[in-house]
Amino acid sequence: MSASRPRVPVTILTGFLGAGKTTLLNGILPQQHGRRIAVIENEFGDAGIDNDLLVEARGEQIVEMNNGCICCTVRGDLVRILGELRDRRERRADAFDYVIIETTGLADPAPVAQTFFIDEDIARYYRLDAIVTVVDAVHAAAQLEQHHEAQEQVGFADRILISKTDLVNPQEIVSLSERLGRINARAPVAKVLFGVAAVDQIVDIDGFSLDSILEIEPGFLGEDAHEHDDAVASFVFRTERSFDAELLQDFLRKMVADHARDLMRYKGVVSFVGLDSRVVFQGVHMLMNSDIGRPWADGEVRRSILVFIGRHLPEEKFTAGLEQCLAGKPLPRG
Amino acid sequence: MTANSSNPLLEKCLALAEGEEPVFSHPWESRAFAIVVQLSAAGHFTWAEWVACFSEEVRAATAAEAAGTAAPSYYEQWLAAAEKIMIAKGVTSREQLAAKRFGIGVVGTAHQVAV
Repeated sequence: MSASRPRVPVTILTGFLGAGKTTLLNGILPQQHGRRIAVIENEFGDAGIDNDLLVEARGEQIVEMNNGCICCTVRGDLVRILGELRDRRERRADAFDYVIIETTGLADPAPVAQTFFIDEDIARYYRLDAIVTVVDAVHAAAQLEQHHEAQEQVGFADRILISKTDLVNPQEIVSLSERLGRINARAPVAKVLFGVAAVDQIVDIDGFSLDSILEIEPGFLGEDAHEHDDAVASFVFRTERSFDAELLQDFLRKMVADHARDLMRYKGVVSFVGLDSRVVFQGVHMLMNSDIGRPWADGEVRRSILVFIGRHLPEEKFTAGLEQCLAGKPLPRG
Repeated sequence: MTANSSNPLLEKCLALAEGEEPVFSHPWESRAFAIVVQLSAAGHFTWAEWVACFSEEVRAATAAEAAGTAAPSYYEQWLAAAEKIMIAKGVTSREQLAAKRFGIGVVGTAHQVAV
């Protein structure tokens, strides 16, 4: 119970082919950052990673734990490697205190992330800290058009790092940042310079923590400026009226059941009638966690905010449904 | 403890070591049982306090059953009492339980994880 040891934080580093994940790591790992980081590398480019704690994962082994249930798709290779790393750390406690998993450019982040929730042994020992996605400023536009994996990696991210910004003009960076913000409204977008990137750009981000504040990127324009019709997109629902807990529960249950495959990340900080504290929840496909958040202050305007990120999500259906879950609204017919 | 047939707790008490009978019908029952034992062992409440709380729950359920209401199972009563004593002792709060129930209601227990 509460006496259990803190779990080892894990960062999943994704990014499309050639975005510079390996270069980024090679710039960061040798720095005197005082952190001992084990790296699990899934892809072998020309530039290998120089790290004492490098583990190579040859090939992606996707394992379906349960018939057809998307959330039960995990990475068998990772389960094995993380188990071996755990044994190593148990023998020598100072072996490492962070893990970074560098995925292949084409990897779907979902099975990697779900491994940390579905496999009980892994979940007990490791904590998924964040998904960090590196986006190549030079090739992003074409890659986002041509490869759905590129959009999905952006959609899943807790943080987006734009690389190679020195090779394009500033206006291109602005429009790329806006596009990334429409795909993923909740991941901060930052430029990354390979030579000077700091380790805290990729670890200790707390992307999956229920305590972390739900902030919508100021660049998020919602309905406006639909320059690109990206399959992956976000939408945000805000209200100052409280939800009826039962109505919201029933509605979200239906939405998760109907759209589990397309619903990549979702998070909410909501006010319920009859509760004096915020309720926070966060999900990945069908996996979800909820808890109590900070209490509402006396007289505070109870601002609820929910964000959904996914593939071809029917925003109007969500918005209309959420409106119906607000307390005091008439119940939908049927 | 003396055998006292007027104590509803003892009337409904399971035979924990009797023959081949399974003690728990569902995995959650063993977890509910273990949580109460652990919390008491950790000093959140004494066993006597637990017995009093559980007895009260059983008494209420028995009365409700006598009045024609469908009775909760033994471990449903156990769980209800466990929630009450945990709230009373500050282990959790009514609001936290509500927040957890919300998530379980959306995705089910199998998908409720520490995301």
